[in-house]
Amino acid sequence: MMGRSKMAAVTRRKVLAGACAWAAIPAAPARSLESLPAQPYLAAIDRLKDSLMRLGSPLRREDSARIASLARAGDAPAIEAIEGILNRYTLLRLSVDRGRFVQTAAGEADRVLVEQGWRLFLIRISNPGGLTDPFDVITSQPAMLPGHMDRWLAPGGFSMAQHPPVVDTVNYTGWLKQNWCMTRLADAPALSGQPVEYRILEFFSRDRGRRSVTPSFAIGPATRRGQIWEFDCLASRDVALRIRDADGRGCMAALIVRDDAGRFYPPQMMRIAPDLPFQKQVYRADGESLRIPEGAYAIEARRGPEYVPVVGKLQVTGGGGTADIALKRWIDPSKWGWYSGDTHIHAAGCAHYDVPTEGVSPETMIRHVRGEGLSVGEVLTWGPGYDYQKQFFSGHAISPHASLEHPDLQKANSVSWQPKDTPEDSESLLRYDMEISRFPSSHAGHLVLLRLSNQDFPGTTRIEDWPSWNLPILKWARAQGAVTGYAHCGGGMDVDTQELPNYRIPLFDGLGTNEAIIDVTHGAVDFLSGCDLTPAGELNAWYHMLNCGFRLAMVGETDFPCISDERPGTGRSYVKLDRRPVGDAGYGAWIEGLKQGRLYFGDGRSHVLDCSVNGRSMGGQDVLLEAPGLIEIKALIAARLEPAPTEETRAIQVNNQSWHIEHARIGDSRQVPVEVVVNGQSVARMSLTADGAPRPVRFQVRLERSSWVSLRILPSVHTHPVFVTIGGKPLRASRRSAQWCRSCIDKLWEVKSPFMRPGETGDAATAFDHARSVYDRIITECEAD
Amino acid sequence: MGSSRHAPIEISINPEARVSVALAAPFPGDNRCGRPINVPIKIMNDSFITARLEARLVANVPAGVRLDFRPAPLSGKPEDWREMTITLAEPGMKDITVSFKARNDIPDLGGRDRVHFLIGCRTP
Repeated sequence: MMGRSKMAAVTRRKVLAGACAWAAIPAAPARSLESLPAQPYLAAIDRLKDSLMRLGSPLRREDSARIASLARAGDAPAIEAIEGILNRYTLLRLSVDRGRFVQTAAGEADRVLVEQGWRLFLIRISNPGGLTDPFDVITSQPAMLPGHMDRWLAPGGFSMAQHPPVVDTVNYTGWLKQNWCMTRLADAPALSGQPVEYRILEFFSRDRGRRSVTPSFAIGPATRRGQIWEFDCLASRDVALRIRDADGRGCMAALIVRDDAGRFYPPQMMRIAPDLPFQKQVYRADGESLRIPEGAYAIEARRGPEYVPVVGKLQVTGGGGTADIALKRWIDPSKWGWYSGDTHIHAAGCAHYDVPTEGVSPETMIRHVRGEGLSVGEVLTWGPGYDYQKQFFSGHAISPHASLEHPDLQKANSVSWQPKDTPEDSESLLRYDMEISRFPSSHAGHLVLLRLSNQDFPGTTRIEDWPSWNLPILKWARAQGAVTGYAHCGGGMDVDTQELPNYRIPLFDGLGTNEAIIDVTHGAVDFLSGCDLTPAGELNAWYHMLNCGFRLAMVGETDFPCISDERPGTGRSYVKLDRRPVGDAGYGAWIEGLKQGRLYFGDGRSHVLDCSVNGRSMGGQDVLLEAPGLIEIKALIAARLEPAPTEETRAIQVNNQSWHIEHARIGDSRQVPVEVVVNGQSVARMSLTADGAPRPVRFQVRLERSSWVSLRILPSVHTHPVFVTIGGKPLRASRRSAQWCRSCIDKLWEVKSPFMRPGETGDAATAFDHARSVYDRIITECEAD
Repeated sequence: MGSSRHAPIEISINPEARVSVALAAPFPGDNRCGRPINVPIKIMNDSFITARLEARLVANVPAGVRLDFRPAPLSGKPEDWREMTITLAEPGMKDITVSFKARNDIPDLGGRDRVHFLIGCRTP
């Protein structure tokens, strides 16, 4: 226990020495822990573990498990034991009294930093007075004007999508020459008021070798000078990357590098584009490099769901290192003419930034699209970052050199690697288009407008001027040849069942299908989008509209990095083409194929490589039958599960509510169900071994009336329908489906019309009435319930 | 035009309906055990969604803590207000984490869906 005499000495020093108000303290006395309230302490420790994990520098697995075990006991001895474990990660033990005077002692953490990298330490704060003041650790001279750091201003005055460690050096040249290190506290800026708390200190080193710094501690209005910290700064080295695709060509891949403590490299917390702080992986091409400290690492390479992750060891020495990576495909759908695309990724907003800002460049986005093995990436400009991002719209497909954006910023951060071209670069395209999100019409569902030639709605100069409902925007887009659809169609469409189809009317309280149910009757909708929310919420409305005879597609999307920030292409569409899509012509063929329905969509872990109904394929001509009868469905399907459930796959099954083949696994087997869907009903089913091998399947089913026929492995893949016309009659598959759509219109008007401008409600009401009359007619034309 | 009123908890709903939450002002003090502590919540809705806003205790939920939050639909307007009540059965400080999300939607990424705070009470 701290002696009163020492506290008194501190008080004298306060008078005599002003800001130099510190004293060394011994390790935390056990007795003080006895009175520590267990619940707040343990809750905070739980969050600390999560934060370290999120920042890419988790506690060692055995320490984390031990803490979890001790937390269950929750008594004073357990807390003391936890303190002992955390002390091994602790750089500084600091005690602050009510007068904001501090005493410090060293923790047991190795004082080792990494040249041009970040390390994380804990700071233990004893705060018996329960102060809730702002708290900070200062290790360098202020390098910016007040407020600059909050907005991460870069050259030109615009704020950045990333969290560059020394962005201020761009605006304040020479700063790095004065300061070899930079620190930042993670999470909350203020003391919690708890008697004991831990804070995470992120520590950047510019240099290698022995370095020292004297920290100060800002506690409310007071600044207290601490004792000198000395560090050994490990040298970092360039690791040359040799990355080969399955055919031997150099390519781009996603790399996850971690050390034996589970820390990720480059460190996540301060990455700059094209490396993004919210991802574990970075994207690198053959011939490029990574800069990481000397040591031993595991390196994992992936390139989207068509590849099996390959894991190898990496040893970085004083001479650097080389990683020789041979990617391993389990399937190449392009051999059957299928080319992948993600129709919904963003270069600005959501996980990119805490404050909506301008975002990253096409040169960064193409790196991610190539690294996920996507042929097409639709980068959608939307509300956040709109005014900046719209400069990248050209009306053309592009495949830029993956250069590093903002050279001054890269230089200021000592980025040393150089981007390289690969022979596969032209096989991935970007197309800048639009998502109508945070526009006046967005209450009615978010539109995805693809193949635009003009991105400015007539008569508008700003987002707020655009129409307050969707149909006028769809008509304008289609008039210029765009392909139009709705985003994240499951939003607001879930009801209290996962049954497909179901006939419950959704609340339409989200951002999903919504007005599409009206707009499809005006011939204005080409597709709905799914694979990012629950399958039932996404597919139910599609099934009902197909049952009414409307021929619209469903496509796979990610909505990166809003619904998922893991990577582009978690939801994707495969379009059948005669040749690989390259340039404008290739993009045109791909998007036209998508519009025509020559596609299947899903998570990329199941593939319907060939599918025909009486010899006719998806997106082709209808099957024509004179009378009801049997049809034959033939397909070649490949799917891949891990041979047996693993810790990783079980975590997917528990936590992921969306599309992933693991949800389709039958028990603990390697089997998944393939279903034939006729007019929304599952009419036949068989098990498929999901070992990655393409396997033929064959079904015969009887059709009584004009129908649509699909194959699915839910929630992993779904084909576009093949349409069967019997006796020349139009498809009117279900009266209940038409009634469902008709009822939805009334609900939609009730929910959405209050958000429309008064001057536009007249036209909207007319359009809704048109849809009512269409569905009323279809109801009368349906023979089957 | 947004209100200039402040609340201890502020929720932002972005255009993609991701619900993020932050502490914005001090919590009510001098709380009595067994009596509801009212905590105003300000909501800035940039998404138009009218889904129910839901709140729940998560993480290390302490014993004797009750959260009451009426999951009413949002208005869809740029600003909404709600109130949650916390009732603490026993004296002493509790570390509480509350997660917010829109009905049937996924929580915001990166832990931005939740807020944690210390709150305590004294015996009446």
